[in-house]
Amino acid sequence: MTRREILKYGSMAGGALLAASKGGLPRLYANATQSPATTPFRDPLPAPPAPMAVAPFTLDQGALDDIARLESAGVPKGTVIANYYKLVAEKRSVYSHKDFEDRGLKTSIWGYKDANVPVWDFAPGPTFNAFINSGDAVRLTNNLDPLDPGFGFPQLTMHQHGSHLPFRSDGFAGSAPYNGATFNPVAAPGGGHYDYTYPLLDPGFLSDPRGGDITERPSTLWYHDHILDFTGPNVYKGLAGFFRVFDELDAADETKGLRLPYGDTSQGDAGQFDVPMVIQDKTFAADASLVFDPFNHDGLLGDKFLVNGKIQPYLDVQGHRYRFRFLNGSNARFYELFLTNAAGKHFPWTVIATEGGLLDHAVSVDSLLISPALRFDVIVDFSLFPQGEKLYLENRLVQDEGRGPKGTFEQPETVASGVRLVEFRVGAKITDKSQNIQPGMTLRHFTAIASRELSQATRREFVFERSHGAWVINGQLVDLNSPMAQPAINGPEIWHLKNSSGGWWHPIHIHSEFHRVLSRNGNSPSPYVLEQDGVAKKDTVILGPNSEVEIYFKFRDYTGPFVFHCHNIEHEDMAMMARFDVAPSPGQNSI
Amino acid sequence: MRTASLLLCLAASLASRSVAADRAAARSGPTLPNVLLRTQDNKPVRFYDDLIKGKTVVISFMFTSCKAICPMTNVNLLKVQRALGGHMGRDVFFYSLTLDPKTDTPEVLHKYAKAIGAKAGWTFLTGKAADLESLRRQLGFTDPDPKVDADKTQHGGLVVYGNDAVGRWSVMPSLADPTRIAAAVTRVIGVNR
Repeated sequence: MTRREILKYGSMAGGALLAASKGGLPRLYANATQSPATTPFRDPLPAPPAPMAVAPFTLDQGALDDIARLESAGVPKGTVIANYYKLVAEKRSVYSHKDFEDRGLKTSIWGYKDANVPVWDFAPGPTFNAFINSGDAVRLTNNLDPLDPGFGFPQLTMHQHGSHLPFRSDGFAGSAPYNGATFNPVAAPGGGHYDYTYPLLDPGFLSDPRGGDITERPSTLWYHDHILDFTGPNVYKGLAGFFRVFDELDAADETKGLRLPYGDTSQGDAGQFDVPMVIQDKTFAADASLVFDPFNHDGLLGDKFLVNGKIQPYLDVQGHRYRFRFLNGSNARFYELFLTNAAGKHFPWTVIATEGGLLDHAVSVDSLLISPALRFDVIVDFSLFPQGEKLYLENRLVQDEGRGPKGTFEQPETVASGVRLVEFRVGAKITDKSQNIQPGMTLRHFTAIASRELSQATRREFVFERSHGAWVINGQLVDLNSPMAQPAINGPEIWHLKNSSGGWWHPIHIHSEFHRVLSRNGNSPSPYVLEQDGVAKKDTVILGPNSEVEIYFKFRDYTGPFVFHCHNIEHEDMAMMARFDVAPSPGQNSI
Repeated sequence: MRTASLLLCLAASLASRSVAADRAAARSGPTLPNVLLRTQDNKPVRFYDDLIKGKTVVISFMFTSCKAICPMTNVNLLKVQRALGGHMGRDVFFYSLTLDPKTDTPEVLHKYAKAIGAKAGWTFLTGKAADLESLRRQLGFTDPDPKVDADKTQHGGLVVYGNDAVGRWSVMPSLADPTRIAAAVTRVIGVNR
């Protein structure tokens, strides 16, 4: 890497150099602080296990009411919830890197854990494995101390990101009036709890003659804190975990359905070939404590790259196909992910899913531009590489400030040699029962929304702008008390999302339903980020500088208050969020 | 020459890093500069020691000749003051720092505070331009676009609020609903009890 590249990239010593070289006074906190040096690839990639189901317990009234409403709408009695889980949010200390561990330096975080387990050694919470139409109930107990000092806010509300859920369980950002009462989704610190119901029913189960739209099933979801004004510090501090959803096609079994890489359930290695990876950037002080700048609302960037809670880990892989589920769980950093070898050669990814579940068909791409909250599931066949080979998950995107990466959405600026996030160490070839997924192969077939449906859609425009140092949607700062839009249940909607904020990038996330991207800047959606309708469904769409997109939705089944917002979490916390209420409609089934 | 200046920058940034890291290690929240300022009563105060240490505060930037955003912010902050009632000047302190210290002398600020009807617990502050600029940057009243950053009116739209005793800080648009600002401030006082 040339010095110019180091400066641009902000890696290793570059971040501090950059802060100082740009002129002006360096910022007090993360953007000016440099983490201690660490040796890459000393820690194995952590794999947080699934939570253990607990015996059914009596849920809070709100959760029971949701279940009763579902049952009275026709879901067979006693079938809404199949599994019960208990999560705890707690303060704990973890080793973020072996170099820190060698010196006994732990990082204090806030994280989720399985309540059954006395000590949870991971930064991310448990990885849920759920099956469609087999609901989960989750009790979150907030064991954070209300007086716990430092950044973040200990009142919690947990968002199931990408899921189609009753509003009560969506993780609304704070208490708000709804239907003549105050709806309060907050789990208070000091032992308060909140019960979430995740029915995981196919979207449209109350209206679709097929019993629901099976093409709208999610695959890689995640859960994270969503409290008003403090989501950024709370997620940065560790409150996040994976939630995988399977069905008969994506079957958690490489001998069934699409036979996607998973592991042989009969051999006790279930899941070893299906590896979720949450990528996050953070900054550490000399004592390994997390550094957070509460006065940075451009977007927080760290100078260390963590995957599943460890800085630059390695993964021993066998000569077998793997499914990697990439999630960008960073507050503000975008990545452009490449699969590379030691010589810098890169190999294409075979992409099978985005945050909107399995693609219509597998697609081969050279790299993945991934904004905060986006997910990509890919297949990598390590049997094609010789034993002993080292491969890397490498980020080549240039981003040195919170407002977004360098360059444009169409042409982001990359470097020839970036930062290696994970090292894959290839082992011996082994028998592989999974299907050899090739680009073009059908996965979960669905068709693009028909033009007749589009022509009937209600159109709305939302402009995302900067205003006196804060961010607004249609000129409005976040207001949880009143909805900015009230789409009717089952009514087709086209939302025109427009970024008029100059050089800022905004990844926009809309709760409750997946959307289809219809156009970008008046043209076809970008094949480059796998967003076009007919190929992918999405729950987050990237708005590059001065760009606009049109997206299609239909809000089904669940009425009530939800939110949409920028998922650069500092922008979200600085008011770029709006409430929308899905409204009941005469003659349309909903709860 | 370029290399030398780069090295110098590196040395400077490393030095500032170790100071910042030491501070971070010793304390849970950010450490703010302790620059010398003057109140509207011409009283000298140290920013951190006298205004922030151990307190819950609400900080905004303004300048007296600002015509649009600052008066709107002030009207909103007056409503926040009212909503905070007895907390003002006891548990919560408001600080408005000028972006135009050349014009905004203590006397000018005194008149301004009186004119807008600021109540007890709301202090207007001026000082050396370089010190105020350093505070503005460190408290995040900035924009990465130099043109926008140079426009003083762009910095009147935020309030930083925090409770130094527990190191809990955040920032809000100053034109947010005043009851929402008051509730947010009350939340951070709450964790102090």
